[in-house]
Amino acid sequence: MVWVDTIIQGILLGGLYALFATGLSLIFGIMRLVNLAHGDFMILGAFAVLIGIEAIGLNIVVAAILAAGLMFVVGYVLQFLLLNRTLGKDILPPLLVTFGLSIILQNGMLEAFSADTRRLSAGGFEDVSIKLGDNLAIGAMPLLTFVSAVVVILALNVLFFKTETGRAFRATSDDPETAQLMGIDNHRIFALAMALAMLVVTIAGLYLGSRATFDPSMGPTRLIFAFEAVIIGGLGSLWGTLIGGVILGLAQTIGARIDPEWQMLAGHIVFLIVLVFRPRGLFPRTAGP
Amino acid sequence: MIDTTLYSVAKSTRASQIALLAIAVLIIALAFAPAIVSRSLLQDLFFLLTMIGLAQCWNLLAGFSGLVSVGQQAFVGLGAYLAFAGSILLDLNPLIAIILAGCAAALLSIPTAYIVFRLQGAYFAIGTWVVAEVYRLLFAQWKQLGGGTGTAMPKSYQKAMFGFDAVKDFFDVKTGAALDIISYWLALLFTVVIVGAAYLILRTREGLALSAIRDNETAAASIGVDVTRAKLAVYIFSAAGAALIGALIFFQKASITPDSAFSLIDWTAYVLFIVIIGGIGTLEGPIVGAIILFALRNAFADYGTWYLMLLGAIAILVMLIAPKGIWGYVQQRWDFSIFPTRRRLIGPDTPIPDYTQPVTKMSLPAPVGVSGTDLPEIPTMFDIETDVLIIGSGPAGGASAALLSSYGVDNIMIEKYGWLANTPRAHITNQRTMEILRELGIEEDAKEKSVPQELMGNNVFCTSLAGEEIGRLLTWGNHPSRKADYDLASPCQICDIPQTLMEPIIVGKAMASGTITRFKTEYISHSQDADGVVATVRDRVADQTYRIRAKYMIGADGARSIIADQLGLPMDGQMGIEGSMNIEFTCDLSKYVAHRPSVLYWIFQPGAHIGGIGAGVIRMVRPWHKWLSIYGYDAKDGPPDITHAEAEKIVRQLIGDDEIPITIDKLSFWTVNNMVARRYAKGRVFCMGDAVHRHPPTNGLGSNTSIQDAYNLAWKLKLVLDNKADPSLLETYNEERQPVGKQIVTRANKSIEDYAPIFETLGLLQPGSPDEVKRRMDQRKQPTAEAEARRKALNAYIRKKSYEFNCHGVELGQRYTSKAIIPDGTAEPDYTRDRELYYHPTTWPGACLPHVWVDRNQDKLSTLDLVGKGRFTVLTGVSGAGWIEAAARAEAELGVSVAGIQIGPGCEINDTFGDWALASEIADSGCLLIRPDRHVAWRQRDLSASPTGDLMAALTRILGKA
Repeated sequence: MVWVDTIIQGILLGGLYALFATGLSLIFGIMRLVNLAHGDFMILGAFAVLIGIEAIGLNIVVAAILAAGLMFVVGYVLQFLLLNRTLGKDILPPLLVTFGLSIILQNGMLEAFSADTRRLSAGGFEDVSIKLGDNLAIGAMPLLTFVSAVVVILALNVLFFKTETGRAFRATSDDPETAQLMGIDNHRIFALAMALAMLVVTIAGLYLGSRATFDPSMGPTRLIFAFEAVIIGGLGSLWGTLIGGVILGLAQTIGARIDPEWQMLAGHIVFLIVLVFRPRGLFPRTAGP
Repeated sequence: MIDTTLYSVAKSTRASQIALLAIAVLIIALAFAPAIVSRSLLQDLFFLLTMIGLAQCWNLLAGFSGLVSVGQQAFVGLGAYLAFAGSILLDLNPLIAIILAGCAAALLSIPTAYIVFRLQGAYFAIGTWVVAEVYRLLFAQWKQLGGGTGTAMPKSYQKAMFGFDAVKDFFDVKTGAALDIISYWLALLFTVVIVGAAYLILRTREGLALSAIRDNETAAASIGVDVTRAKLAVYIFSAAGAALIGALIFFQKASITPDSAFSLIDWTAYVLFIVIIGGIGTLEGPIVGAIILFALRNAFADYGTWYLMLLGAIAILVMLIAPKGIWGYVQQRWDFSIFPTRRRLIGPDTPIPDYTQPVTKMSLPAPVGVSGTDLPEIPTMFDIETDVLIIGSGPAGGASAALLSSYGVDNIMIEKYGWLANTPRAHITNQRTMEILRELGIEEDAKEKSVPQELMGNNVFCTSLAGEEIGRLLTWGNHPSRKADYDLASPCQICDIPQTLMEPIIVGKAMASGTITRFKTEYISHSQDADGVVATVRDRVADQTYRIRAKYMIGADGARSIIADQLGLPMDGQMGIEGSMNIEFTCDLSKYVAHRPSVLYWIFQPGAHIGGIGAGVIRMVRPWHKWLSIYGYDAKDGPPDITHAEAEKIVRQLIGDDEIPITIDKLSFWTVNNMVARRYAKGRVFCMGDAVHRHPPTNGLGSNTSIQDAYNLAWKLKLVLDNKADPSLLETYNEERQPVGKQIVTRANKSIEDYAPIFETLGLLQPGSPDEVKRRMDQRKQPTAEAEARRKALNAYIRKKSYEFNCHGVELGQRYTSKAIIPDGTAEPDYTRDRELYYHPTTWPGACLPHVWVDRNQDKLSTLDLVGKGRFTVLTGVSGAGWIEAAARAEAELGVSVAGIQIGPGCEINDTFGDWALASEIADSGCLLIRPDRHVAWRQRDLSASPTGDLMAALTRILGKA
């Protein structure tokens, strides 16, 4: 029973990691940009929700919607004014600029919110659990996280494949020059993609903060989890990312069950194993290089 | 067709040859630096050289081979850990350990490369980071090297360093300085080798291959460059370089933790900034960048987070505006380089691009290395078990030991040195501290050794003891208007006891009550698990390392706390802002001081300045023949080299008497720090005293606060160890004491700032010859309106020093808020007078129980005497019998001591003066629940409907069991 519990926990944790990873996967897919500040933006999103709840006194859902809207704007402006200038053949500028952003965000949040650990209060919902048997129960919050991850990925797939904007996204992703010739403004498309990623990141931050505590220094480790989920799942496929997240979540919970100190290590090791045997991930989008 | 005889290929220019010569001269000059520069400058140069070395390694990877790694900390950490293992576990000479660590890291970089080379571009970057994380987590499992909390390298291992004795003798310096010199030379050697090797590699054909890879990998491969092999070679070279430098850095630091050794910020972020700002893809860039980072660090590092944000912003700006960095700009603008790696075709006309050099395979250097598996155990003398292990026997550690022993808790205290404080250090002993000594039964012993309040209070400001007196302030509650405040606040008097006399009393009490104290025993490291702490300590007499297992550990290891460092407690502020020299001397100064007895005499003389205050001070140690003079030096230059004769000259100048016989007894050095930990504890380890609050001596609060830290934690440990309270009670230690630490650090620094207006008014801040300064000081004696304004200002500023010397509210007025205090719904009582200067007694939950005198038979007792001693106390009045019963029931049910005491006519304790009726702030049927540290935990104005139920509920909540 303990193992069943562990596996269920692991799968549900995977939902959270998939949420972490979706934004990263999205912007890499569309503009080949790896945002090293991704994890820190997630923490920023969590703090934005926290401000809504604690300083303004909003309900967590309203606070999250407001925070997501705000982060959407932040993402758009950031990409439009800063990151678009770094895109090009050389991979160094975007990497180093987002690394600098990460340092600024971490220390800015440390200055603004102190090093204290915080938690988002969901008004008691975080303590609700669903009983599945005598010794088995699922937390409502982890379950909601997983469901949200699935819904977010579904929604993004609908956006990509069923809408005009989605077509522009895919076109830019496949061939930015030609897309531009067809009248697509790449810079606006990129900004929109980053805004969308920030929206997803805020949802991730919301669940991160209400499932457990968070503090300003946590961003980089979450970035690593997100990255691992993307690579395990295979670049360019959002469903692959979900499965990557689940595999990582399972590895961590099973590792932690064996010895609490092995939680992180188990996740990293599974990632390295996948890298050695399936360097293109388990579910790559296309077969070619 | 081109006539090739007209062309030649040049690898250098005239300017670059001259520059190289200059570099060679500079390196030779740097080699001689230890003979000339101060120790602190040498440490700065060490930092600079190591950063250049690390930056060059990363530059070679990212700038020349396109391998953008953010995981170089993997190799820094590997090098550091393997060198520690070689030195401590295998007993190798540290130099050999460092070199072998570099080789081993090179070897380990091959399987690492096998994995990360599967990733491209940005994904390669994060992949290297994951690998570094894996290494960090693995090394955190290595229990022999301290596990997650790391370990320290004992001096004896450091001293085994090749050439140590020779350097120590030749330069005639202390151990630490000699080690710094050797570390510096090694840093110089490693860095020159790394930069030199990089230069030579890039000038060869293989070097061209690298640039070809960077510029266009596919094209390079198509003309015959073995891309993977070349990249691998660079990767291995950079790993070895980073590991060598890492091993050296941590050898110099002498302590290591997984978090510091594998730190992304320290070993990759800084390196990135250096290379980007200096100029990526040039050999000069990292050197320029390191110098800029060094300058920025010296100017802004005190701003902590703001400094890092500034670095981030600069890096982004440089990347956007000048992606080639500063040196890239120089190269472009003036076409100049010191280390030219490009080839130029010199010909009759305009140079044409050089396509004539074919690029061939580069050879891979064969790495050498050792394996370090079969590691012997650390020699173990024996293992000891106890409940609480206390590190350090200063005021915080000693008081913890005495209090825990008085509560019957098993404890062991270790002390690095052979005896207690060897210099007078702290002396002002405030009433709260005396109250704790009173509970321990050593108040009288302390009073016997003390100088009483009456002799403490003439704070003299003068130009010298024999010279003109500028002003005087009655201090430490000696002004009649303040004497009453002090007398009313406590059964004890403030007094002055030098730390040399205080510590033996406290530690003596501790040992007499059961504390086991081990002197000459040095703390090395610890690890924590679910049941306790295992500390590794070293007996410095037998040079034996052994382990002590405890349920909890108290880190009272002072301002240079290793424990706070190993725990990674977040600190705000900075260390070593000012240097101060203590000159202890014997001299009968009665004729200058007996008419104005005081503990402190402030001397305003041009040139004399102590710890940022800007004046010389003479402090009484024993009236009126033992003294201590404090004199400042610039902390950056390290302690000055000063003889007894020179010290005597300084003292004489402060006294202003050329004849009086003086004997200099001792010189010692300390630095003014300004630092407070944001968190005091981690897991089962609690830090206290200077380990977590470090500040100037102004206000005399350091030792007092340390002892009060101990008083706050000791009873909580006892109740948790007895299983009477939930471990969460221990979290309230941090909640309650950290704000106090922050408050006193702020207060002490503010007090220093308050001296400046006095100097300003006296005209001491503008430069000038002593005569000019004297003339400016004398201006206040003129019968002019301007001089009158100046006299008035001076008076006001001197009075303002009451915030340092009569700061009763800060001394006594701490009010706690935490989970172990239950608010009663009433608003916090107003401060009717200045809250720093005046103590406002109240029974509002969180405050300390107010003192008033009461009677038992014919004994005069303080209300404070009724409480404490490890027990909870319920205080009530004549109509509160219900509470007394409730206390007895609670004691029986919860198993914690709860004394019930009624105060009033007809009760055992009589409120003869009627003061309690006014101070208690409750009705005669009401109740105060007092914690063992005398703070009010809960109160009820009247008798409640269910006193037992209510009291039990309150106690359960305080004990964290609710």
